[in-house]
Amino acid sequence: MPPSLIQDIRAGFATALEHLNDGGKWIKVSPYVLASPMPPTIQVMPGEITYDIANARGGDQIMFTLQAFVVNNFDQSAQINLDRMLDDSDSYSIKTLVEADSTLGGVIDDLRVVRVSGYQVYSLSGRGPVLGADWEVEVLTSSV
Amino acid sequence: MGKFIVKDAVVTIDGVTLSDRVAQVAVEMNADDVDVSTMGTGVHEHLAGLRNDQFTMTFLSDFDAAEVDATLFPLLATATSQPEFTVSVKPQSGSTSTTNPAFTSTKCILLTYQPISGAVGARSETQVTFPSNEAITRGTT
Repeated sequence: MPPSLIQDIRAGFATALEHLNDGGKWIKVSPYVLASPMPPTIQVMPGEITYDIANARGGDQIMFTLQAFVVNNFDQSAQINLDRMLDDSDSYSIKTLVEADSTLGGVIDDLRVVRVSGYQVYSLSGRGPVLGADWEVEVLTSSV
Repeated sequence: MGKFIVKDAVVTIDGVTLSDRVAQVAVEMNADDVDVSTMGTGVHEHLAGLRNDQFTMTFLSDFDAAEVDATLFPLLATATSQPEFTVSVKPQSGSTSTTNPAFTSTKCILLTYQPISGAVGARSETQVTFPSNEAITRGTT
């Protein structure tokens, strides 16, 4: 089965965020939602799709959430890294990394990191409270 | 064709099909309303005056070759040139027929063009009106 556009977009996000992995030293990026995510990790979740933003299947709008789980012991150094991911002037900035190639290698027409939730405390099964944040990304696709 | 949702209209501007960049389209066929009311009738009487037809569209901006800007910009009227061109709109793809008529003017002009319009973070859209220098026709073949 050939990869779908959404699969390609997921892969594009993973590639865009590879820098954060720092050669395997830091955060892992999963294009798919993980059954049991182990911080630090980022997972990609497709959200609402608005079909037919242009006539004749000219394009769709797809929302994605990039969900980062940074640390489960509220370690200060991990919080500093999360701050860096929030800060669009930093080399760890999610917004800057994702928007560096706004077509994800030609897969889509355009994207924009619209907003970030700020610090969130997640409750993951078997891990206790986990600190992280959600980035909302708007993707515009075109059928031609 | 029965009831339908607008999603597959065919929009052609000066021979270029831009359907997949159109977010909104309207074919407007109007005649001026000339008041010929007289004493003693107690009502307004109306006569159709000059026709004032036009097409209005909202495009998703696209600056690629043979797309929105490349098609529209050369058609913009200037102090020395006022090109007339054909605009045609059909309800849906497929052959023109009695149930899929083509509304066409061969004498449209473009007087106003905003190639870039939008707030920060919004999709870039371009609203365009094509006044017609002739009555829009309804073709079925």
